[in-house]
Amino acid sequence: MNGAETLVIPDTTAYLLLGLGVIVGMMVLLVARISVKFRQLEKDEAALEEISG
Amino acid sequence: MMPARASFFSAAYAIFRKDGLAEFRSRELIGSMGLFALLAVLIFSFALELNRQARIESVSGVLWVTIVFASILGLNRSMAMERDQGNLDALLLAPISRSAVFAGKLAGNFVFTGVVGLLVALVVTVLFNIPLASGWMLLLLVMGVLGFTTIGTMLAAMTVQTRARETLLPIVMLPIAVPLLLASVRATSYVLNNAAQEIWLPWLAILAVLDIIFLVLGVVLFEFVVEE
Amino acid sequence: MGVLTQAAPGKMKEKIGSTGGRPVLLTVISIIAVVSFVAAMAMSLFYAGTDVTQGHVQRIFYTHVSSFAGAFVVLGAAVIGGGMYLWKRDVKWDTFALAGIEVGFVLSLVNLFTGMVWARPIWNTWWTWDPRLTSAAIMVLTYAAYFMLRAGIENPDTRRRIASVYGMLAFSTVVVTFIIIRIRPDTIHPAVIGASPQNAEGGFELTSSMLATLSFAMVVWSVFVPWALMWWRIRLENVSERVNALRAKALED
Repeated sequence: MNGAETLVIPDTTAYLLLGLGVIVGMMVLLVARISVKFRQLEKDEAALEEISG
Repeated sequence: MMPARASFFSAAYAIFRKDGLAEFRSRELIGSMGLFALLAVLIFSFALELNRQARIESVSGVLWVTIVFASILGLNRSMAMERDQGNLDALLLAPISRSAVFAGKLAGNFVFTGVVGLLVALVVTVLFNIPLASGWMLLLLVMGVLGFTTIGTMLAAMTVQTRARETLLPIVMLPIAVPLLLASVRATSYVLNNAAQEIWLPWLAILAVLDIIFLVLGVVLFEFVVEE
Repeated sequence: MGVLTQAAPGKMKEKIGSTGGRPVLLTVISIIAVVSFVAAMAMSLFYAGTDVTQGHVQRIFYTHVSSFAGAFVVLGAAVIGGGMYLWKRDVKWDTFALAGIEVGFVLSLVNLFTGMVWARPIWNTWWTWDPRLTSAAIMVLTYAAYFMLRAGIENPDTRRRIASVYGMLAFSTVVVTFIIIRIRPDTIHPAVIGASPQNAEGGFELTSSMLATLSFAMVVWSVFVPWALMWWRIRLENVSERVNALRAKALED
C-alpha cells in the first residue's frame, strides 16, 4: 500500500449508492408487486368460493 | 404424404397468383406503399437537410427506414384484406399445408415490397444524385426485402388476430427487424462509399444468415400462428 | 410437475387464508435467494478490491453483468417454455414462459439502469448510442411489445399460442445483444469474457477477489434469484387463472 499515496482513486461512491438504490429498488418493486397481487387474488378467490358455496 | 408434398409449390403459387392478380387489378398495395415511400424520402430530405456531404452518409439509412415503414404499411393491408374478406379462414380450411400458405403470402409481399424498394432506390438515385444502380446493390435490396417481408408476413399474421391490429405490427416488428436493418444499412453505406469488398462482404453474409434463419423460423412456426 | 400445475379443487380449500399450500422447497429457495442476494451484494461492497482507476462505482459491475446473465437464462427458459407449449399445449408451459419473460424483463432493466449509473462517471454520460447499449434497449422494448401483444388478444388459446411464438422470436434480440460487441468493432462497451474491443473504455483487469465475487454473483443472479421469482410469478398466474375461472362460474350461476 506504499504506492497508494501517489495513486488518486476517483471518488465515485455517490454513483455506487445510486446504483445500489436502483438494484434494490427494482427487486423490491417486483417482489412487492407480485405479493400484493397474490394476496388480493387469494382474497378474491376466498370470497368467490364463499359465494358459490 | 406425397400428394401434400407435391402440392406445396402449386398451392403456394396459387396463393401468390391470386394476390398478384388482385394487385394487378387494384394496384392498391403498391400504390399506397409507393406513394408513402416517395413522401417519406421527400420528408427525410427536408428534415435532414441532406446536402452533398450528408447524403452519402445518411442515404442508406433513409433508404432502408423508408422500405421498412412502407413494408409495414403493405403487410398490414395485405393481411387485413385476407381477413376482412374471410379469405384467411378459407385458406386455412383448404387441404394445403400451412407452410404453403406462408410461402404464398411471403412471395406476394416480397414481390410488392421489392417493387417499391426498387422505386425508392430509383428515386434516391435521381433526387440525391447517388448511383444506387449496381449488381451488388440489387442483391442487397433483394436480400434485405426478403428478410423484412419474411419476418413481417409472420408477425402480420399474428397481429391481425389482436384487438389493436394495425398499431401493433410496427411495435412487434421493428425491434425484431433491427439486426436485418443493421446489416442492410451497413452493407449499403459501404457499397455506396466504394469500400473494399472484404469490408462489406461479411455484412452481406450476416444478412444471408439472418434471411435463412427467419425463413426457417417462418416455415416452422407459421402453422402455430394461424391455426384455428 | 406439481408446482406448475393448478391445484386440484380439494387442495384449494386448505390454501385460503394461510400459507399451508406453499411447498417447502419454495420457502427454502426463497430464503436462499434472499440470503445469497444479500451475500453477493456484501461481497461486491466489502470483499472485492477497489478498482484504482474507477473507484467504488466499479462495484456495480458485478450486478450489472450478472443481471444480464440472469436475464439471458430466464429469457432462454421462456423459449423452451414457448416451444413446449406449442408442442404439448399444456397451459403450465405458457405460464412458465410468461413468468420467465417478466422476470427477464425486470433483470434486463436492472442491467440497463446499472449500466447507465456506471457510465455516468466513467464515460461522462448517462447514455450513448453505442451499438451494445442500443441493442440492449431494443431488447427491452421487444419484451415490452410481448406484453402488449398478450394484452391485445382476448381468446386465451390464441393468446398463448401467439405469445409462445413471439417469445421465441424475441430471444433473437437477446442473442444479438450478447454477440454485438464481437461483430461491431466500433463499440466502446468493454467485454468481460474474452478480448475487449480495441476502443473499449472503462475495462479493467480482474483480480482474484473480483473474480470470486463475480462468479458468486453470477450464480446468485442466474440461478437462485430467477428461480424464486419465477416460481412466485407462476403461483400468481395460477391463482389469477383460478379466480378467473371462479368468476366465470359465478357469472353463469
